[in-house]
Amino acid sequence: MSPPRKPFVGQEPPKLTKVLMILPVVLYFTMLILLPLGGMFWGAFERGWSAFIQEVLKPEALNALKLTILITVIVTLINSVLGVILAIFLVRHSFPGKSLINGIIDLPFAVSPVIAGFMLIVLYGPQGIFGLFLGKFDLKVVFALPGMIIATLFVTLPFVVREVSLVLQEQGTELEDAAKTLGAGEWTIFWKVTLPGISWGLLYGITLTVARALGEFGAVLVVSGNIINSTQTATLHIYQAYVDYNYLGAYAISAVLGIISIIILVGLEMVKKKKEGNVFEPSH
Amino acid sequence: MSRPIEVRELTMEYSEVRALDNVTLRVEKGELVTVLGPSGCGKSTLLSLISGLRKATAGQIYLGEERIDHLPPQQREIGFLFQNYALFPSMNVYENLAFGLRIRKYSRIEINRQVEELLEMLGLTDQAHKKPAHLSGGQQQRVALGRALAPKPNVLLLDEPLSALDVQIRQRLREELRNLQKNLGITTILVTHDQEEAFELGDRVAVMNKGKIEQVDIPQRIYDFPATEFVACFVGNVNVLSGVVSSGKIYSCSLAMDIPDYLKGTLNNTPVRIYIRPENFILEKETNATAKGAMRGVIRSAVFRGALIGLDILLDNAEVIHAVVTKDKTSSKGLFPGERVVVWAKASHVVSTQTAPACVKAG
Repeated sequence: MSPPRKPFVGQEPPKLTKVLMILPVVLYFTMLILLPLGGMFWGAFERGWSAFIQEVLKPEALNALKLTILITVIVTLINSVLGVILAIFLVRHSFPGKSLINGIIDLPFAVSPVIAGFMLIVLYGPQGIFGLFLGKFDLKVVFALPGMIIATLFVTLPFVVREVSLVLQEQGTELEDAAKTLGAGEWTIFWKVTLPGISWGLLYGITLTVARALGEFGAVLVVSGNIINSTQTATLHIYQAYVDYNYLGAYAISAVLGIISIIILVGLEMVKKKKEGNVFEPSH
Repeated sequence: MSRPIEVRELTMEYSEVRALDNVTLRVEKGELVTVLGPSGCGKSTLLSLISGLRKATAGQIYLGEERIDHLPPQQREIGFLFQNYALFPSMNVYENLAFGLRIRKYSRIEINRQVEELLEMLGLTDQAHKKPAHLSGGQQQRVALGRALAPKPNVLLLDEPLSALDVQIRQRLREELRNLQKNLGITTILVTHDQEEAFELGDRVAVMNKGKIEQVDIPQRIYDFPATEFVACFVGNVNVLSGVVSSGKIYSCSLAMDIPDYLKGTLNNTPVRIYIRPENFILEKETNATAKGAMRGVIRSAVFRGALIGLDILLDNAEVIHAVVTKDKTSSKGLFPGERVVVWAKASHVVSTQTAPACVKAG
């Protein structure tokens, strides 16, 4: 059976070694990502399209998805704008307490979202300092949309700040200086020079923020009260369905969230490909 | 359009460090002054203060008669060419050139006319729609220059404009830059660490060291009459000899020289250092005749450099000097390796009584 031995050309490793090297990676990737993903979609469509559609179109499911998307849009908008401002301040300006703020920005990464939720309850809950005050005006934060937005803002704060800081630092101030000597005011400099330079970092930051906001569970669970048709988000709905032995419902909404995430990631890759083909090839 | 620029007693301190120390410099309308100095001497700081990108600790800046050091860079109308060009990567050549004009709210037609003119002048018409990343280094440099010139600034500041380029195109661009500056008649300050560049481009050269301007003069005088030890050392080649003051003269071994005016009245036996350019030695073949006020030594080696010959001479006191003579002289006077010679020095040299030498460079 053995074919005539080919002369060993170059540094190409033998086939067997190659397979042995790649196999663990493929296995790992399959076990960790492909199989669970496949399982989820299989579970969602196990009883056919109509059953899937029916689960998604249930009022409580639809409400949960709408709420999740609403929170995600609001949070992404706020944290993109504030994230860019914060990043510019942290990178371009020096002020007392800068390193302290720099450290605090990463706090949401270090603190469990559940704890973050409880911190909000302490402040804004019916017995909390702000809660008592706001209660007088009939404003509810906890167990209502504002609390859920604040909680999601908290857990997604670092993404845009960190990504934008990185590219800002790399970009340096020379382009902005050049624009200044050409007569450009701060506002023009921001739109025409700074923003195009940080657009990549911003896009990455936004993608991560969206992904996290869509999937946030712990912090939202604590502050929302998980009221069906009112403060129940998609992830909370999935959990509820699972606990209620409605596996099809859990799988279906999971699949919807999964598809949204995949679309975002694929979209990002496509923009990246297009851009790479265009501009960024260093030449001298 | 073009106006003189002047800085008076300009000082810049960064936490304890004096990057710029009491600098005064006036550049006349249409003049090109090159600022020459080693890296870290403060020459780039000088430009950033004039442009307004940084604020001076003390001192004044005048554009013509108008004091401008309180103005932000946007209101100074001073063009700046950055060392790495700082072209806007997301804009093409046309947009880069139009940037300053758009800010000044010129009409679309006017902008188009001026940008086309610039493209033509810089030979970039075919590159108008390329992004900077797709241009060669020389083209990028020209775009940056055109972008700085587009708003017709009062003054042009160039920070090491040619240092990022290959040696081959540097020479050509140097001439282009010189012609362009003269044709436009724009007041220009060019900062460089390259002596050849400074001398070739500058109407006058300002030599900087440790935040101070040591001398400002036309290139020829900087070379022939260096005002300080540093200038003597940094510009061109120089021999450093040690000597003493003795009854109105300076002696290095048996070499006698007149004492310069600024050291008249120095006490006898004060140790000094003497800086002599290689071409300022006078050599004769040693004869039995007495050679008054001269040193004696032997030619150790000769290096052929075209019209000039470089000679290493081992003096009898074991010091080595480096002299340069014309080819004709070596043959007519018989100055060949192995021959014994007597050495005099012409008058132009710097003498210093400072204890620390400004440099350790020997001829």
